[in-house]
Amino acid sequence: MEISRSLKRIIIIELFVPVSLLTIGIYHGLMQTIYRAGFLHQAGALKLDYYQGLTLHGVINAVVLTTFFAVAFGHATITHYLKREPDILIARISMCLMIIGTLMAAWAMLSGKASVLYTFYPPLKAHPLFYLGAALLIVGSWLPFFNWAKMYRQWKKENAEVKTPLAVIGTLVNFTIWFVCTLAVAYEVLVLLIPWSMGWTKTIDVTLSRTLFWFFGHALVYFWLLPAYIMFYTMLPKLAGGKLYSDLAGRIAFFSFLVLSIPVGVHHQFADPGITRGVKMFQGLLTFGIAIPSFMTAFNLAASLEYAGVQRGSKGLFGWIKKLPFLDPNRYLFAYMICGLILFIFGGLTGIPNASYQLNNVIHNTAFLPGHFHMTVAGPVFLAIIGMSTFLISQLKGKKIFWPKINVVIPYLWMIGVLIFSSGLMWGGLIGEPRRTNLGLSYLNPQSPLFRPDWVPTTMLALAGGIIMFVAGMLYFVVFFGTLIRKKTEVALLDLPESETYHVEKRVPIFDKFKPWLVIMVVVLLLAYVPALWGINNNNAPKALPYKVDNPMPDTTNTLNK
Amino acid sequence: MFDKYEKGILISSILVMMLFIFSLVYSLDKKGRNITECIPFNKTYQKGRVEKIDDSTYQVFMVAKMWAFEPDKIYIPVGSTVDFFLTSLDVVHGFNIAPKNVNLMAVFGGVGKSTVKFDNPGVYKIVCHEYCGVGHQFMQGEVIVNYPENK
Amino acid sequence: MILQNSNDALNTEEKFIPKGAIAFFVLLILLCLVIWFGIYYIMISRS
Repeated sequence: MEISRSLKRIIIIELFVPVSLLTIGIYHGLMQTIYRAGFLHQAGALKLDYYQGLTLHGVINAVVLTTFFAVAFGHATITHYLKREPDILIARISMCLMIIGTLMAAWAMLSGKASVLYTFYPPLKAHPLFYLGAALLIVGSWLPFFNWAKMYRQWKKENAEVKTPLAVIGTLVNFTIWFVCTLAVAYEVLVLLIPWSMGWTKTIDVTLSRTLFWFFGHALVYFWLLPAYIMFYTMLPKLAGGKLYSDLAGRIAFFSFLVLSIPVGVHHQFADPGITRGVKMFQGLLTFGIAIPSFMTAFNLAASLEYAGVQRGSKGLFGWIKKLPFLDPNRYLFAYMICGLILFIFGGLTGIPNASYQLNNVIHNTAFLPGHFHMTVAGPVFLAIIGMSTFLISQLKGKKIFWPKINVVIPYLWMIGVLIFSSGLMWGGLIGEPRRTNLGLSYLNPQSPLFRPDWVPTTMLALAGGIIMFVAGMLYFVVFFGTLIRKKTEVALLDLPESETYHVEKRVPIFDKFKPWLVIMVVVLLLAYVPALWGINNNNAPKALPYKVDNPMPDTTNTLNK
Repeated sequence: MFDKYEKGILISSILVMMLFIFSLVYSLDKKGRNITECIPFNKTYQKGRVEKIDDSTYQVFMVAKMWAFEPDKIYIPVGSTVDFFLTSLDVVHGFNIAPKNVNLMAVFGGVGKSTVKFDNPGVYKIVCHEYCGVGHQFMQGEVIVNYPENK
Repeated sequence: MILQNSNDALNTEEKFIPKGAIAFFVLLILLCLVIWFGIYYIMISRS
């Protein structure tokens, strides 16, 4: 369908900004592997400290890129499926807030005043602008959701008996999760962190801040994942030449995510004091529940792809795999998605031990974690984001893909890189290699008394994988910016691929409305988090003074004069 | 729609999850196989020291601070059971004795406890695995279990 | 010829049983068990 110039410009800017910042994000990703493999025995390079780079890598890739894309892709999905455009003024205000917030945080990080990583755990203190920037980015991303929800209610009134498209359900579920979980981090940032970092309040409750962060932190993971799931359910079967095996199973999966995404955050805090084992066990059990929708999705997509293979006359149990369009430049989105799914097989499965209570002791905060999540957020999520970004740019600008033959190979190169990279990190993690540590200065420096020779092969493997990932990333930038600036040769339009479902499925009312699921979500959320927050509130632990990253003495100076 | 294959998938994945839960409950609470226990805070935990309860039981009050563990070297006889009580004087630190599954976070105002039995001699490294500032990568302690001969 | 195709399409319509997807899912579960019990074994062997 044709869309207005102003909406087109908003979506293009909301893709261009994060992908441009991604160049810095991916550079610092490569630098991590170089420091950690002991090729650099220093605190920083090119005036960028290791932990400053790690913060930039985390914030740009995992917060800015994902949030901008979710909003841009949300605009495209809602417009395409409801056949009407969101309110342009709201979309513009949202974009400006997000960009201003990102610039604030970027300034704080680049000037070295916010090297606190993307989890910004107090009592390490960052510049107030870092926190304010994060808050603006989040609030900016709320606005389109309110607008889409209104559009959906209006559409529903007119189409009461029509089944709501799965992509619309997915987008609204995703942003409902996002809005509810960001309330906790907005409270943490606005009420706890900003006054504390400005010096207005002297101390901060560390366990409360961490619990509020992870109330948001795990749902953030599903905020990353659900746009990719929307693409897997509504586009992949069509691109593969088949049909979606079960639309209802998709709805069940999305509503299960709505209920279970948030009340599981404490499984990031199994090793923390300050939270009782009862709360940890309850949220751990809930986390097992959230693995079920992903298993259902795995089967649903495999059946859809098998149907596509059967359509092309495949034989035997796995003959359908050979029939799929892996290297078809015209269906490059299939390549981006299938590589993401292959990575997600390993990414998803290596996540379960983390949630498994005392099994977490083996791998908590070790390199196993980055190994795991580079096959989830830097696997299916990242490939879906960059694949769809190029797709939307080429459609909205009416321009053919630049280097189409290279474009379709990029995801495979990235997949191979990540598999090598992650196996190095996970192997290292299992023998105690820590994450978030400039290993080059100590554990991987032969001259240091802390030198650990058993971590040399693991960090080497991670470096090798990292280099391949970096090459794939650079090739992607050439394709993305090449497509963006080349001559317009096509009609500019917005036409997302839409899969049909294999069975003719009539509308199942319970899975076509939000209210009951929202009620269940709130109930489970209260069951999971009231005991945790109640316990923290009552254990009246002493609160912590702020500390800068480079000074063991508390920083009680007021930041305004700095 | 939700056909019998989907139901089969749903049931089998639920069964796998229950298998995991059963295995966890089965192995829980043996020494070194449980997660951090939260202890009510008081000032005494903020002083790093090792206390000998009897010949084979020790209590280590470990304090993590910006960029060192206190005490950073502990001498423990072989076969002894050690209760680690961990807190932080400043920012969040990590505390990981990887070969023995001891994995705790040191948080200001919180005390975590973990119990482990050191059966064989050796030097067990304690690694800080949570970013705590510019000195983070140098922060490492040692539990020396009867190696060399206990001084 | 067209009838033939539509018959094929109809045939695959009714009798499509996702055997390959079920086999894939079984392998997925096996891999899940291997990964989980692998780390479980490491935990047991360490304490």
